[in-house]
Amino acid sequence: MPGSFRHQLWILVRLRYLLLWAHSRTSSGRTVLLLVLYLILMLILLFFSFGGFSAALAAIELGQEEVVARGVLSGLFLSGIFISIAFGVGPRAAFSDMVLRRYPLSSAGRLAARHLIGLLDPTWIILIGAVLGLAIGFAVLGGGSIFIGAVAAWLFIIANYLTTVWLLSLINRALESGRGATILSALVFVLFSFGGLIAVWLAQLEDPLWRSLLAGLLRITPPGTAAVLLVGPSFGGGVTNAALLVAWCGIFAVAVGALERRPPVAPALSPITIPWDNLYDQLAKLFGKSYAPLVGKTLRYYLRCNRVRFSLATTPMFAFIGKLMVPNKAEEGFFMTLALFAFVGFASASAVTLNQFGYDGPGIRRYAIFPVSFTAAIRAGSLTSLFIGGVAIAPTLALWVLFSHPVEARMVVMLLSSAVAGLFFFNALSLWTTVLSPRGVDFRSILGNHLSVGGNVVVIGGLILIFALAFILRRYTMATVLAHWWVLPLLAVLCFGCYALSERAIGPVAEARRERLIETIAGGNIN
Amino acid sequence: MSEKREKISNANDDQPLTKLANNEAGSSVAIKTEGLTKKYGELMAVNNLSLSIRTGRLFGFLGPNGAGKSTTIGCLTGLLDPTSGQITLLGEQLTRDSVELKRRIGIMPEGLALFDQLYAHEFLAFNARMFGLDEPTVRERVEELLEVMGLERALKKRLAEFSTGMRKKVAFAAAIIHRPEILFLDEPFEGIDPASVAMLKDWLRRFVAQGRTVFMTTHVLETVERLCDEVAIINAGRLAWHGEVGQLASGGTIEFDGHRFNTLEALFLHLVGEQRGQLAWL
Repeated sequence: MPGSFRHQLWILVRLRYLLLWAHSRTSSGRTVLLLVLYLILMLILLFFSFGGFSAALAAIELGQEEVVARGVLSGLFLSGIFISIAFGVGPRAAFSDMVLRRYPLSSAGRLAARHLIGLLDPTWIILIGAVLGLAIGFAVLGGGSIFIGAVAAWLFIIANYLTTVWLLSLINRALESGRGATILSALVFVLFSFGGLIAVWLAQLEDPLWRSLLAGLLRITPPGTAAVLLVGPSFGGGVTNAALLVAWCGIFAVAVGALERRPPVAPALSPITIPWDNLYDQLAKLFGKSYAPLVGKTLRYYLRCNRVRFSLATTPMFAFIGKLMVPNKAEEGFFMTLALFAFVGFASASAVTLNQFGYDGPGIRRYAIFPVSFTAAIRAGSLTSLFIGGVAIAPTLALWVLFSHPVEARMVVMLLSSAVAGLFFFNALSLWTTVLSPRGVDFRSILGNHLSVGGNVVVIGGLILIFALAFILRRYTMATVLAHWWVLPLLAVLCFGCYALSERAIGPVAEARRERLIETIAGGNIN
Repeated sequence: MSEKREKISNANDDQPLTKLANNEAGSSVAIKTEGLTKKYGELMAVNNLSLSIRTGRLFGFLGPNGAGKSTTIGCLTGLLDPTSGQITLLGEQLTRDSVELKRRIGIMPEGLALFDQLYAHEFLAFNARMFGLDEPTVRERVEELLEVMGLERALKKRLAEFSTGMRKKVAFAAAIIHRPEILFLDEPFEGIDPASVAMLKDWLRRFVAQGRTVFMTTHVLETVERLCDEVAIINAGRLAWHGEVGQLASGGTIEFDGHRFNTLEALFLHLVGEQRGQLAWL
């Protein structure tokens, strides 16, 4: 590595860490930092539990060194991908080729710099610590070699990094077109919906043929090959697995290169006819002449937002959630569904509702110069959210009715009331988080924690409340709960009142905090 | 409102233009500030600014970076609340609730304030509807603006994908779509191609010829010299100079502080101070 390139790389790595530190000083950054710190603690726990002597001891005592090592490495492998995708650290946040073009670096230099900076991100440093701990444990207490273990650990991390970069590039490519985003949403939906069920089914497999086939498949994955190398393989096994691990790195490197070389999709520049009578404006007209333009704009923002599209696609899952979470217990399943239905209407549009101006960027300034009060924009956003949430409730309830037995009218009323109560209650809270806890967000992203501190409190607090409610209901019989069916419609009315009060009270607060809100979303304006 | 409106026809425009009958160009005040002050904590962004601009004027508001130009426009357009002082537009005091007054002004703000996830036609139509234009007029003006601005070929792109110049054109179109009586433009020409700049300048001249008023900031002093009737220079939040500049285009001079200036640049440098740093290595 030439001296000047090494120096440039050092400067860029420092800049990367400075940016991370700067990001941690924002309120949203603090949320991410908190979650990342939590995960780091978990990984440290993992490191101490499995990475060192205890893992090796447990594995050797069980006589299943390879299986334990494979399990731990699989967990770490998935953690690496999850942290990078969900929290926006790792390769996602490292410099892009476009950014590096401003520095005097050749194309090969840029490629090397980009991936070396990516690999030196905190995520991978933590993970390599955990894997090396595991390797040392097996070397000291088992038949592993420190040298082979260290090489395997690095190859494993490189494979993990390249897999993550490939996945992220794939996601970014998919998001370039509306069709890609929809397919991606559907894939994530399938993964979320059936992934757990498939994992349970695989774990319960008893047929020895299937089991050996599954074990064979797991053995050739990056965690599987690395596990063999860590526990101390024979010479032949070592060479084969090292070659396999190198091959994995090569496959993902080629896949990443192929994706990066593909030119971006350019939209056609031919003149088109303006679609004046479109669905957005038709629906917006339902809200009256004064709100129609604002609702039309907000509706477009909601329905073009990948997060909202994804949530809308996954909302019908709520119809089956009771059965999935509490299988074989119809009563408890219904109570769980009843509690979680409070989230149905809100969940579909929560990505925008909790932080209505977050996706507007500098556009937020325009609300202050339009001949309407600033509150009108908030009201229009909230009405749009209620509309989308209301629309999402209907098919979810219909699916529940279709696939549940026995169904009686009181159950349907209770579920509908729970959904309506939740819709109004959480939208009331969203009015406050929009004004009191705003955060600028990337419109195109589909993954990562995009919520503001207030938004996180509402979602996490809301879920805790809902699960607590389901837990309390478990203490009663179905007959008792059904006999008190009228409580939920009453609760829905109360929640509507709460929404109406919030909607009225938010106006003066929003007007008083207008400048601060604009500054947070659009950036400072002091020149 | 006491003003009586009458419709006049314009040779270059098929549509009738609205003009205030009792406010002939130059005879009434379009923009007036008295002791306008805006503070951000300890920072005095605008300090006791008093200005009076008559109707039908093309007014240039100049100053170095950080002088307080955008903050002044922010206050004049209701985007920012002044710390103290009064703002009067078209004879009415501007307050937080001046909804009707806002209908009469057009703004191209700092940062353009576009909604990036909308298409150009959607954004323009949204703006037009917000200013209360009826649907046939919305459609007619959006289509016409897109065509004359050369944006009709980019209708499949969202605004986020537009170039800087195209974004400026869209923001300019949004500012004029409802034919305001006062137009506030924050650095309107920077980043736009020369042909489009020439067209926009022509529009602005026609705009003020109809008795409307333009208040613009820019760093291009030559443009101000040729285009504006009147200029104010602000430095560190304070008004440093305010006067006519029309004479410069015909070879005249500006007298100030015992000096004669034959260019706006000379006056500007005199007022804000020349920056004469030396770089030994360059």
